[in-house]
Amino acid sequence: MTLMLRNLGRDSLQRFWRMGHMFLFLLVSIFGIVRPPYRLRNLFKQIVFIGIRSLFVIVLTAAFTGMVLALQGYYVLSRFGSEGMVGPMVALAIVQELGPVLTALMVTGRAGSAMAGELGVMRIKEQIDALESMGINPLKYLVAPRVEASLVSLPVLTAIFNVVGILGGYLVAVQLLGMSSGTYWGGIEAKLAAKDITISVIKSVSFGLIVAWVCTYMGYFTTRGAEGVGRSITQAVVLSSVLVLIWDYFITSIML
Amino acid sequence: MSGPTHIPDSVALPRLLGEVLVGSGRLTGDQIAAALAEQTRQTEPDLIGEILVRQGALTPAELMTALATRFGEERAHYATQPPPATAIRFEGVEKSLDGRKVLDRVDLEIPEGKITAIIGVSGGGKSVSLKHMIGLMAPDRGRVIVGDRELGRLSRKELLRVRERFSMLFQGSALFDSMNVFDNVAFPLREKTRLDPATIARLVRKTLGQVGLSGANDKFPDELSGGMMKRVALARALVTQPEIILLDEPTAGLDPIIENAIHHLICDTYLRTRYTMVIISHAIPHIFNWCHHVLVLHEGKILASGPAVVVMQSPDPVIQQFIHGSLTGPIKIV
Repeated sequence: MTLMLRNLGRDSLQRFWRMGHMFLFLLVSIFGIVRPPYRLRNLFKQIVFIGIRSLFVIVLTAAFTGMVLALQGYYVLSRFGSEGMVGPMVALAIVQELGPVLTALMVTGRAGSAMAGELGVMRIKEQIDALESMGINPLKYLVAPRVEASLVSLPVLTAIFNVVGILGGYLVAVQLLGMSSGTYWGGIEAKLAAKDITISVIKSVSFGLIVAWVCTYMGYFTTRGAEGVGRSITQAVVLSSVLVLIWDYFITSIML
Repeated sequence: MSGPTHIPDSVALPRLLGEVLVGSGRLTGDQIAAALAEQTRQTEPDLIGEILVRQGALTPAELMTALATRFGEERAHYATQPPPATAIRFEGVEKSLDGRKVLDRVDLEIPEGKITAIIGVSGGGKSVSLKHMIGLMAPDRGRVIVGDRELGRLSRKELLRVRERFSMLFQGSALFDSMNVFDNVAFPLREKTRLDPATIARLVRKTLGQVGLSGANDKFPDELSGGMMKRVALARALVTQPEIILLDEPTAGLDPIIENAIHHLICDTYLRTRYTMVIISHAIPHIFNWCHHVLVLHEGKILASGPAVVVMQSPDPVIQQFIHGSLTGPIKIV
C-alpha cells in the first residue's frame, strides 16, 4: 500500500514537473519571438512548410467536409421540411467548429509530426548541442520561428478551409441536389454573424499555438535514439490532437 | 601508423619548420629563403608551408610529415617546462546521470595554448566533462572555471558569450543535414558575426582548403564519407578562429589512414593557430604522439594528469592496461 502510494506520488510529481517544464518552454519560446535578432528567412521557411505546403491537404479536406455536410444536412433537414437551412448549417458547422479543428488536426498530422521528427533527429545527432556550443540559442533559432509560423499559418489555413468547405457544400446542395443558389447563399448571409468568424479566428490562433508548442517540445526533448524519435512523433501527434479537442470544448463553452 | 618521428634527444627548443626541412635534407636553405621572401611581400601573409606547397617545393603530405616532426620536438620540450597558464579548471566537479555517478569530485586543469588529450574507457565521463567545459552540462557539485569566469555563476547571456570563445567538434560531427558543406561551415560566421557575404565566402573557402575539401562545397552531409564529415566539422570549428577547440573523438570509426590524416590535420592546425585544444580519443597509443598533455579519466576520477611523455611511462596498472589494450588487469571487461 505504502509502495503504491509512493509510486502514485512520484508519478504525480513527475507529471506536474513536466507540465511546468512545458509551460516554461512555451514562455521562453514566445520570449524568443519578440526579442531580436529576427531571422525572417527562418520564419518564411517555416511559413512555407507549415502553411503553403499544407494547402493542398487542407483544400481537399475542406471540400469533402463541406460536401458531406451538405449531403447529410439536406437529407436530414428535408425530413422536417427545412432543407432551406442547409446553407447556414454547413457554414456555421464549418466556421465555428470543423474549420479550426480539422485544420489543426491536419496540420498536426502533416507539419506537427515533421516538426517533432526534425527536432528529434537534431537532438539525437547533437545538432542542437552544436547550436548551443556556437553561442546560438536553439529555442530562439529552432522553436520560435516554428511557433510564430504556426500562429500565422493556422488562421489563414482555417479561413481557406472555411471558404472551400462552404463552396463544397454549395456544389452538393445546389449543383447536385438542385437546391436554389439564392436560398443557399441567402441563408448563410442571414445566419452567419461576425461573432462566428471571430470564434473561428480565436480558435485557430490558439490551436496554432498548441500544435507548435506540443510538437516542438516533444521533438526538442527527444532521448534514446531512433526509437525515441518515433516515440516523440507519436506523443506529439496524440497529445496535440487531444489538447486541440479539449481546448475546443472549453473555448466553445466560453464563447457561445 | 606513423606518428611524429626523428625527435633528437638533445633538443632544448623545438626547431622551426624551415630548420626541420633543411635538417632532413628535403629542402635547401635557398628554397626556404625564397619562400620567406615571398611571405614578406604578401599583404595577408600565408604560412611558409603553404607557400612551399604552392611553389611545388613540397607535397602536402611532405609538409604534414614535417609539421608532425616539428610537433614531436615541441611535445618533448613541453615535458621539461613548468606548467603553462590554465585555460579551463574543474574544482571538485560531480555529475550523476540516470542515478550513476559519471564524474566524482574531479579536479583537472587544461593548459592554455596546448593540446590536451583526455583518455579512458568508454562511459568513463570523457564526453560529459567536455560538455561541462562549454557549459552544455552543469555540475551537480563543484565549479567549472574558464579563464577567470566560473560558468555556474554566469547568466545565460554571459554563458553564450563565453561559448563564443569555443568551438566544438562533436563525436557524430553534428553537421546540419539540411545544409550543404559550404553553408555548414559558413553558418557560425553568418549567425555570430557581421561579416559581409564576400568575406564569409573567402574565409569558408580558405578553411575548407586547409582541411583538404576545396571541391566539396555543394555536397550535403549524407553524400560525405565519415572522414570527410569529420573534416567539414573541423572546418566549421576552425572558421570562427576560437581560443579553445574541443574535439570529441575526432577519429572514431575511421580507418587507420584517415585517422592518421586527421591527427596530422589537427597538429597542422595547432601549429598554425596555437589554439588550446582538448581531444577525447580512443586512438591509443597513437594519441600520445599528437598531444602535449594527457588526462586519464577512469570511473569518474582523474587517474593521471601530466605531459604525454610522462603519462605514457606511468607504472599505474590501469594506465598500462589501457595503453596496451590488455584483456587482463584491473579494468574488467565484463
